[in-house]
Amino acid sequence: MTELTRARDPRPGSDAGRRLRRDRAAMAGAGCLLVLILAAVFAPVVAPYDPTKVSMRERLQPPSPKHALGTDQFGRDILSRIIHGARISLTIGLISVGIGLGLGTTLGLIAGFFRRADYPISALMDVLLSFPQILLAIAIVAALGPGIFNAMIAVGIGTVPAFTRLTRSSALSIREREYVEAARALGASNRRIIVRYVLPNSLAPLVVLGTLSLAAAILAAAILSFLGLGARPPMPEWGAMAAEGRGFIAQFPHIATFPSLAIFVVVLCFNLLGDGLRDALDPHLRE
Amino acid sequence: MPVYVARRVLLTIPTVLGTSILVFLILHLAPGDPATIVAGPTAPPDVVANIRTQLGLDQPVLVQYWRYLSHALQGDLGRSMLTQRAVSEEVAVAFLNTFELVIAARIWSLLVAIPIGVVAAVKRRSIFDKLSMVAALLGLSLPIFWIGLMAIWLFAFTLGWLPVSGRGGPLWTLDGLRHLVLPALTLGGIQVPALARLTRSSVLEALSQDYVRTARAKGLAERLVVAKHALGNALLPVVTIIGLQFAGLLGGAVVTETIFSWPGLGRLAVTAILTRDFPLVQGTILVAAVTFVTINLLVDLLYAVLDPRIKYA
Repeated sequence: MTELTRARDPRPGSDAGRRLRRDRAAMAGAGCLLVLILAAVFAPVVAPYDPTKVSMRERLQPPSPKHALGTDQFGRDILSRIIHGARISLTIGLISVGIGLGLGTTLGLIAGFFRRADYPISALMDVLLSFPQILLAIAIVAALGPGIFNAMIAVGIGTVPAFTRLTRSSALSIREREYVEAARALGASNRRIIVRYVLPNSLAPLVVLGTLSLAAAILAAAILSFLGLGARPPMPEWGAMAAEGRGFIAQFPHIATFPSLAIFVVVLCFNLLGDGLRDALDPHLRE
Repeated sequence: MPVYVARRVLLTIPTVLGTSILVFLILHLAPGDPATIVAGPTAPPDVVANIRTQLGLDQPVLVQYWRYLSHALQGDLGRSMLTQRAVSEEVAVAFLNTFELVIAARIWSLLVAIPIGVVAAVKRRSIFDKLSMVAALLGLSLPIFWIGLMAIWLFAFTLGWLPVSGRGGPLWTLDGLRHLVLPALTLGGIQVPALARLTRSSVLEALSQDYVRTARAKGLAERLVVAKHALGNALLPVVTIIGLQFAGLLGGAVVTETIFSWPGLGRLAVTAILTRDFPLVQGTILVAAVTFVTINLLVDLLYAVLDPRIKYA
């Protein structure tokens, strides 16, 4: 059993790590994300001003040495709001994908491992996939009511089908492998087989999907906030900030532009890292 | 072929039913009593009780769902709580507006993305290939609302060429067309990067096939090799993606319509949610989801027509 518990498919391991480190775009994405995460963690120290401090004397100022990205219609410093907004956007992304990953992986493992559960779970996923992702999120927000917490749930549920399908297909293939058969012959329970063999061998594609889903989740949550269905002003969430700048777009486009560019940078970084991880873990997909 | 069509249509039915269940449940999952939600928070108890009886909310949930489904199948999606108009009427008008927008966006995005993808593949590793693929990667990460806002800022406010928002007149009038340009440009623009990337990889794969090598070996001009041999086969997966991208288009339409005050399904859904007009929310979402399922069905059938191997799979 000791030998069996170590049984894994040949793991990409250090080769993948080396390939990832050689991928300059992915490394740039990872580096940029690291800076953003540090800025988010130390936001109160890094941000030059209080993100909610109103100063009507300084309203609608273009970028200047005093306010690097200008001020909004209430005189709030846009750079400080973006730095604090990084906390919110990254948290939304992580929680949403956490919901999708947790629910989706569990359902996928059940569907892939227990034949009787496969049809109902797959049918449910087909139904969820029959809604365009934003529309599904809107439908869920419609039921639960607008707000940042409900937006996270809505975006998270929207990511469930992708995780379920991926884990299901991995589980379907892994459960037929010889080492799983051997473990079963030695009396390992279904739970043990899933936890010790099926799940670890499904991890690589899940990491890739999780990274790419973070980009999509942050974008989707920003869209919900922009529509007034997610985070609400004065919360410095990037989508809500862009929505606030909408009314001033003719003369002060910087109010909507800088938060939108922040979303763009984060989404791009996650996409670069996700693409890099995919190429590193499965070099055949590179072309 | 008829067997394949029948099987594919039958497989769609459970999905549509599941979709209707999910949409039906929106009202029931909402926190609070459904009758009070429909009547409004300030409605007196006798009005709430009346609505409960009228809408059958005092019946078991299964009976309520059957009633909802049978009414929906007859085109009755209830009445808007705000305007008291039939939801089906409001949704029908909005649907046509969204349809115009989505088709216009689709046409221009195809006209731009497919040539970019083909040229990038044919001139692989050239500056054009590298630049277009970098642009595609950057484009994939842009929030659609920013593209819309920048389009308004540039073309409406700075240059003054096009109107800021609204529907204008009917599509066949100059005013209608002028109002359509910016929303279609925004909605289509967000689709171009993914479509260009896919076209490129699809053409690259086709160019590496034996039949292309044979065509080249018999001395055919490269232009003809690409146009006659590679492109036809390369566009098959593109057809699938065009269908799948309708999800993105319908989702993107929600944002585009809100930015440009375009009176389509997406804007109607958002307004309905913000005003807690539940029958309208259910109607718009149901119609959008069923439209999406139908488009996927049509794409599958089209794919089978284009590639006869599919129906034997």
